[in-house]
Amino acid sequence: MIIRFKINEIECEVNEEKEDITILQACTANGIEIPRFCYHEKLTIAGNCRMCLVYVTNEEKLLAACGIPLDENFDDESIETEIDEILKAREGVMEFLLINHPLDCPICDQGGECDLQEQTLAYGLDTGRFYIKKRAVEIKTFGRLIKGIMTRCIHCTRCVRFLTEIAGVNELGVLGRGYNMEIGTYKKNVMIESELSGNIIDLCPVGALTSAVYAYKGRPWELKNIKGIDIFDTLLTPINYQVKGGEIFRILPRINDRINEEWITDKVRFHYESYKIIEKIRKETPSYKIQANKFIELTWKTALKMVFKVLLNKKNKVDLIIGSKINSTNLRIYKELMNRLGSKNYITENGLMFKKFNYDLRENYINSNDLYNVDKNDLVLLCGINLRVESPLLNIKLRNVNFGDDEIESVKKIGIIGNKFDWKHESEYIGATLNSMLKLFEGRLPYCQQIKKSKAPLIIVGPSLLTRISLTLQEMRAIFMKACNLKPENILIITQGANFGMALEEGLFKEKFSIGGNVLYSIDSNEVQVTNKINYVIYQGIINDKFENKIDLYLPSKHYFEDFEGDREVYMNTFGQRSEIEKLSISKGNKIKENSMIGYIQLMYLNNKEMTRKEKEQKDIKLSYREMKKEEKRKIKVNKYLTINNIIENYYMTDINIRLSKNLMITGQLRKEKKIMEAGIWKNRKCI
Amino acid sequence: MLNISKIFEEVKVMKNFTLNFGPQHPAAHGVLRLIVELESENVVRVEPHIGLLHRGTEKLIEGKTYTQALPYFDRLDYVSMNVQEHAYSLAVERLYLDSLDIELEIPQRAKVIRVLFSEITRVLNHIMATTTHAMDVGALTPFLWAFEEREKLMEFYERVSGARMHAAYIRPGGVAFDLPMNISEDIYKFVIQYRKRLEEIEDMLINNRIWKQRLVDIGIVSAEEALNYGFTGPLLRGAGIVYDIRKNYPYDDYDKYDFKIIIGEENNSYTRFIIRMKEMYQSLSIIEQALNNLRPGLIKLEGVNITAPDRAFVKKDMESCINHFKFFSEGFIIPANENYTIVEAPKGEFGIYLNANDTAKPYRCRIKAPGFLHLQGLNMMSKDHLLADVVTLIGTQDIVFGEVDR
Repeated sequence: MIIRFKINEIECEVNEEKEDITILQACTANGIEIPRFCYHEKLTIAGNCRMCLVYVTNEEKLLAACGIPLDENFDDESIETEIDEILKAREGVMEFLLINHPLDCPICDQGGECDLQEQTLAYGLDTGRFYIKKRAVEIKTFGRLIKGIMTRCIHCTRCVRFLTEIAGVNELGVLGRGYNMEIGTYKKNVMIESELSGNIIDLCPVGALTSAVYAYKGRPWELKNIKGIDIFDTLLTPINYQVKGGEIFRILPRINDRINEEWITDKVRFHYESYKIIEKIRKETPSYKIQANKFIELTWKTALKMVFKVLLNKKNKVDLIIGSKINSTNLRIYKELMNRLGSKNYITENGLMFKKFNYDLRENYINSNDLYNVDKNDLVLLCGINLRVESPLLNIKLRNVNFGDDEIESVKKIGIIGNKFDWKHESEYIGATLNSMLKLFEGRLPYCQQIKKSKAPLIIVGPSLLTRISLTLQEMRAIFMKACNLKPENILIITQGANFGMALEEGLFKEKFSIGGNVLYSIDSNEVQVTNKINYVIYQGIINDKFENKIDLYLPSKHYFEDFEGDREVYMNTFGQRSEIEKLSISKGNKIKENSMIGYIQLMYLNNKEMTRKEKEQKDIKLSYREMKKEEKRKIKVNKYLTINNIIENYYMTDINIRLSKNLMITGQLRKEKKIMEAGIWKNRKCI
Repeated sequence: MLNISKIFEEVKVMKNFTLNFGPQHPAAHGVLRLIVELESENVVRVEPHIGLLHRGTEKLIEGKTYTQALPYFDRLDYVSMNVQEHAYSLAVERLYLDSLDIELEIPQRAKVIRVLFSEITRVLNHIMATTTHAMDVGALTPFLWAFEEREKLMEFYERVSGARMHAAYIRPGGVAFDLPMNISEDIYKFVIQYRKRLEEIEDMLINNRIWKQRLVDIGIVSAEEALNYGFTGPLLRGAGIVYDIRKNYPYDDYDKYDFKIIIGEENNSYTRFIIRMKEMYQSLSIIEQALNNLRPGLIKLEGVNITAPDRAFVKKDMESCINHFKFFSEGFIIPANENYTIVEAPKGEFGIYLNANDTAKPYRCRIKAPGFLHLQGLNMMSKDHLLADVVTLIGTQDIVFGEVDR
């Protein structure tokens, strides 16, 4: 049925069967703005703020526009949003909200970007009429990251809805009724255990939930937005750096419906304080180790000479490891450098995880499916991936997958192979060993039937599975497709590292790479631990806590967002989507150079040295061809009882930038301790 | 052999003597630098070099909200502060109030206070203009006498706004604060006694032989020249042209006050001195009338975003707190529009062109300062005069570099 109605004298049409929209959505579509506090596009409708009241001709009372769907009752009716009655109702709502709101604007971090302020200005009164004592609620702590000044709360319950529906943790709730209503955790001082808890700061329309890291640091109108990406995740979520005077003040999400919707992880939201610490503790000049803990400062000229001395010495076997943040231009430069030197010993630090990888075809490392379409899938199988930790944003995207109308049926449609983790529904846990994986391929599990039945299954393969089996992704995918009768777009492969896909695009990978040479040249690779003895370690980067005292020659280089020519650089994520970043310079030492600049100088030096490049290349091709031949003959060997473990131990320890941000570190520790503590309590009970 | 006569001929071709006048000269009124070309002691050409006090006010205003831009106007002509604030406030009000559906005017009391302080400012300026002029020419006593009175006027400024000079008192939508206790009585007392002081100063100068010798027939500007050069204020009225913005284009109920436009005939420095003295009497009469017109009431518009809520309320209720915060951080938005607003500043026509573009900051603010146009006429005025008369001319033009250099 087509419903015809009027909004403020504008004639509108809605097809009831095709669209299921509310009054508020219809108004927004027609360019009429309706004020709201509790309504949010990505959350369920609560309808408790009463700010969105509209007048409908056949209704006695005013209606809350956010929660009323347009149905046949609205046929031939007209909706009014600007009549005196509505304006008065809005004034009334505003006045009631402000009765108990503290006079905190001057000291509130939300000031300037506060919905309450904006709507008071637009719809509220000029002066108050109630001078009664204000209600006060105690300040609550939700961990080290979120400050909860709950007197400012207007009970829109956006935070509660986000955490329960989207993040999947039930820590926040509404306590009490009427005058005693509060948002809070039932127990005191409970930390919100979600990787996405920071998003409730953005959601909060007032200053009740604010960032503890950004507290009293800046005002929104003096910050400048610079585009960036979430470098700790293969999704490369678009973010905004908010900058003032060469310093990052905070990080906010950039809205992108194809990737992150409106959310970002806590990791990237709060990691920026590490840049300040890095600035303090990093070395700003090239330096050379003469003894343990004794370094001498070098000029760039001598430092580069020393690098060449090592690289050009034919006795040395040089391993090049590139960090996960380096952009594709630099990857190309350093690959070129190594090729010219006649070596193929290069790899990214995330590539180290894989013994084999066929990067000839793009579909092997880049997923052709689109995150936007994830909702269409009706079955999910997770193989060796702890989505909650490895890709929290993909996790919340999948949590909203519609598993059919019948909920009981849906329970069994989610399968997990690998470590158990929290999921929305009770999922079917298939097993942790490779044995269960094999059973699945052979079709011996009841779950296999469901895969065959479902129209659009989605199988997510994590890196921990890939590391356990000596299969390339291509073979892996082929087996899956054969065993379960799937199309390639039904399989999603999640890897680690922001530039993993880009590195493979450039061909920067070496099979069976092991750090065995006597020289290690590490370019901003901070996560690799070196166990065997290496004669010479060149570290070109910012700061490294894993190498400890092993670095022999240190070359200071800039952060990834400073390290490119021009204003912007493009990164590619695991779905092949391009994310743009803008240049942002925060490094203050003038002796710190870009990786690209150092690379170019090295290449120029080699040009002068007249290396015959052709010969080297031919040699390379031969080598790889021979290896390919070998590969065909090889048999697949699988240890059935190998368990598939999480590859990330602690969510808050995965990157140097995160390890150096104080508040994230403490959050990580608290969470770890809490888990141990809870386990301890459980044990004690058992004893009793 | 050398042709001696030829050498002498070459030497005879002499250039005019070029002299730097200022910027350190005490009669240069701050930072005026003149390149004076002299033929013996006669001035051939005067070329003003300006810009030593340039601060980029117009450009700075583009980066400030309408509220934040106001104090820049105190610092333009820094001896007639409130008149310029008045001009800016009128400009913003006209832009803002035009955009509203209903017709609004600022409250009566605010208008009266504005007129009161505009006229106090006029007296303030004319004291400075006439007596420092006298000092430049050689009479020190009037300066000493009048500056005591000027200090009293500045005290009124201070009592009402807290600042002696850069008051930021007249603001868009009204005035910043209400008048403090007893100030109207004190202003009245001042008016009464200042008339006498003014007469004393007049006695001292009007028939003073030296004063007349230095001023009469110096810097004659004909009516045509004055119009061509864009002169306004005493320099225009001295030539007999009746042009006073308070009468011609009245603002803030100036048409309801009874005062006369003083015009001259010959328009030389002496005429202009007389005009300024007589204008002070007129201003005193306007001040008296304003004091009589003063009725209790609001001192600024209420219920619109153009004014900030009262401090007392800001600490009491949330609505005022929010409005106050938003007013001083984000400011108020003016829809795309433009206008040119003029007021009668003591020095002449002071105009502001404001261009709004739907934001809280002006897209363009162009300031028309009377002194700038007067300075252009300095070359014309000082033709066929002696070098010593240049000082008199600068004095009679009443130039202040805050507004010339901007």
